[in-house]
Amino acid sequence: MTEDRNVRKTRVVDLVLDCVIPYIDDPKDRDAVSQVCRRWYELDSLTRKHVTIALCYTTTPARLRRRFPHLESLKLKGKPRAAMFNLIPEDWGGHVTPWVKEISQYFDCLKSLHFRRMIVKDSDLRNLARDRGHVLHSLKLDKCSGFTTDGLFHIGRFCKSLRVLFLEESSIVEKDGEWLHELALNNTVLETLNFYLTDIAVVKIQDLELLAKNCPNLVSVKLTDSEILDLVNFFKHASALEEFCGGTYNEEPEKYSAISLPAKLCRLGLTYIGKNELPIVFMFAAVLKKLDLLYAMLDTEDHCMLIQKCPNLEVLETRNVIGDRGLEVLGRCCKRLKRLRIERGDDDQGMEDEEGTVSHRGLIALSQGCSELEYMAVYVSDITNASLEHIGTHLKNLCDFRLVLLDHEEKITDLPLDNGVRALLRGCNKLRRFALYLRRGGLTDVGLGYIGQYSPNVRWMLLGYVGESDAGLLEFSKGCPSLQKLEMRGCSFFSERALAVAATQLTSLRYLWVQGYGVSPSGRDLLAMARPFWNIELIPSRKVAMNTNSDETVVVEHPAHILAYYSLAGQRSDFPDTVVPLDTATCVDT
Amino acid sequence: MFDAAMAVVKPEMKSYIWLQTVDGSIQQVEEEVAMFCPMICQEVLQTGLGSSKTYAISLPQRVNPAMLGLILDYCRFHQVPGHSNKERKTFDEKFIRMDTKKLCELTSAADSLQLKPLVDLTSRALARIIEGKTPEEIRETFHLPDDLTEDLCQEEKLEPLRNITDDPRIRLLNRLYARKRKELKERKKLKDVEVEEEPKDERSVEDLLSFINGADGDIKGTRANKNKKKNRRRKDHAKDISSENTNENDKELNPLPSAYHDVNFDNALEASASKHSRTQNLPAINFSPKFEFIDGDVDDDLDPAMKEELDREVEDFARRLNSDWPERMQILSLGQDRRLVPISMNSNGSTHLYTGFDQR
Repeated sequence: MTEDRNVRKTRVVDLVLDCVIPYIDDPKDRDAVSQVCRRWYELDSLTRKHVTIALCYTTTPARLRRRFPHLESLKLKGKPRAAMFNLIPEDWGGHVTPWVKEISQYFDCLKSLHFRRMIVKDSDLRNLARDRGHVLHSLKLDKCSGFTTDGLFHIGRFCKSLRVLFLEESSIVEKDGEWLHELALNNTVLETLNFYLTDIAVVKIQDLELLAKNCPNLVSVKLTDSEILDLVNFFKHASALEEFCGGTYNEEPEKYSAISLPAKLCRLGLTYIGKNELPIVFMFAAVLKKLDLLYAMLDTEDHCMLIQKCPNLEVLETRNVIGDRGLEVLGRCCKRLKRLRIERGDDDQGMEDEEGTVSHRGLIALSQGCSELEYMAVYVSDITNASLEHIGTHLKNLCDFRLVLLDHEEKITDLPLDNGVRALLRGCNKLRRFALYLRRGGLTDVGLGYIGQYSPNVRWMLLGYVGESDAGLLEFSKGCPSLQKLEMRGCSFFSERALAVAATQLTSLRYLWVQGYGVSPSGRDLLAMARPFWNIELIPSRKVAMNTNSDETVVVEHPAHILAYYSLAGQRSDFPDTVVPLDTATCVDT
Repeated sequence: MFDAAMAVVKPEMKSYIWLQTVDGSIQQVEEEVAMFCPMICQEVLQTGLGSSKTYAISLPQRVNPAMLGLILDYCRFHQVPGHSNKERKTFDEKFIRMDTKKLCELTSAADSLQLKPLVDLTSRALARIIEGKTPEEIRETFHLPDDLTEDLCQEEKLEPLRNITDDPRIRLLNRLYARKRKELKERKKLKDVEVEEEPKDERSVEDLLSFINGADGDIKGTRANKNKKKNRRRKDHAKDISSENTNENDKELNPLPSAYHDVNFDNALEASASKHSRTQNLPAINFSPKFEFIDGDVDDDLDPAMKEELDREVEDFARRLNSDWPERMQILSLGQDRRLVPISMNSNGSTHLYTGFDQR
């Protein structure tokens, strides 16, 4: 009797699951659903539309295909995040070729492809365009390298249904501008075109104009340096445009006042714009939702003047030249701000505004004024516990917090930051990503223990120069129940053994990157973290030539790296000479 | 009159659709409400069914009367034009407040009737229930089997298993612990069953006790009272040497029940009766002729009904005891002892009657 009832319940819920599963989107929930029972596992496999693979070596293309045969959207990441800061060798790995082969041959439903920090060849783009071009809606080559405009030519030629082409910050070898011409000729549905911060320079205005004419849904365009005065016709045709980024202002300021920008424009990136050209923006500042000033030529005063005219701002990206005063204006005037990124400016002090620094003063004003903030990444010159406490008290929606303490100020008002960090973590209980990059003495072992204790939902962490000894690291690793990715730098005081123990104690950890740890004489203490499905790679210390501002070549020594990660695919085979895999099989057997 | 009124009202006011659920029950539903379900609408248009009780539309198996009632409530509200979006939203929010099982059944039923707005509503509600839960919690909520093999998990899951421990031995221990937990749960269930049985046992014991105590109690109670009276009167007797015949009769009456009680009590307490005990009893009886006479009277009272009842109860009790475990065998032997009592009483009774008669 009871068994019959159970069977009936199972059947009813199984029937119903077909209707329910389309409403379950969060990857974590999907993952949980797939582990409930065989029936749910199979249904999840058949209905999963999007997968993100945080590291392309954690599985294989064939395995992905077998598991999720009807994928529509795939995001792949290759090199460690540290590659964005030139810390990873260029030839480290992260090749898309095996994936493109599998995609070309088997993934019939795939419409959206996103490669990030990966190596892409022209032949990959050719094969992709030829085999999947007719269904591809979105292609993002995000901070990728290895391809040229020849590869893009194939994309422009064959991907007639492409709505999103995203190439931002990729290293592209430019041969000619034919790729853009092909795109303009063949595409009528493009919505997003982005080759911002690339080396692409040969851009014919006529091709942009043709694109604007042919694609009525063109909503976002981010390009490299083009004289704004040359884009008048482009703007005229791109009537649906909401986001624009790029351009230069080389002519007399008066000429720019005549420019008429599209009526719906509300997301703006102003490269090289100066004080004299600001009136262009003032006209529609009130409707701006996003402002990218990372490459603008504005001082603190200019920032203040512009920001106070933007009451509807939701996203702001700029350099620390905005200053504490600018943050105070933000706090007073921009109540809807959700995302804020404040990068470091030029390290040469003479290049920036004297008051162009951000400190605890600005952070306090910000946390009191912009209570809707969800994402906050800030480079600061000075900091206090009180400011972090304010953030914990006021920013209840914060999901992503990243703080870097710059090292050009010798004297910091209030260190260590143990109590401030604790207050922030306890107050911001929605935090999913947390980055704290300090200096020696910035956080003690006690503070590191707090991070472990008060980060129940954090999945990604970057920690730099935190803690004092192995004891702090071990205390930290008793907590962080959700931590999947951990990146650490500047921790020469952590031994290999402590790192290994911490890696095994962090129950959700799947990925670990450490640079600047305390290398043991034998280098074998890391093997204490050896276990099935866990790959360990070493990048030994190396000497890198860097160009300084004075055009001298200086040789800098990069400390050794560890990269360790779970993989269902086993050890990878495409190592460059700069990478040394640790043989874990022997240790596991032992 | 009534029929006439119905006939008049019906064509003018409303049309009805007849619907039949799997259990055979047939229901009459307002046409505009029923037609709100695409499946019913199609059936009416394509087959012409539903116009009478004889030609009712047979609904899919997943639609039982309870679910149909809920679905019709939903349709009744939403097919009426003029409700604001806010009102509809409020209705929906109240409507989906039900337990998970019912929500599943409703989703299934609505799906079979192709009532998409309701399916969407209930599906979202179920999705909300699932969100944030671990696989274990989901299995518990929906009573699902854990039939994913570990090999399958390791082989096919894109993301590696949660890193519980790096030591294979500890992992094995954890599995053993998991089994133990399962066993403990099962034992708990057994204990629950035993607990259910224990009340029965307690009842049986109570019945047993009430039977024994009741019988003894009745006898004891009566005799105890008499005993007390006897004691007092004995004292009186000691004080007053010369007594009337009436008093003498009372005295003679009192000793008899007391003696009888003692005999039964002894028998009840002892596992087995001994001849020696019986021998001792006999002289006492012979010693007092009047005692014998009164004893006979008492025996006559016991014979007709009480004796039968006693026998029946003893037999029933014996049957119950025989059908159960050894512990009850001990009680059974006690019952057997009680069986001996009536026989003894009969024997004594007969003797007493005879003696009394002769003397008289």
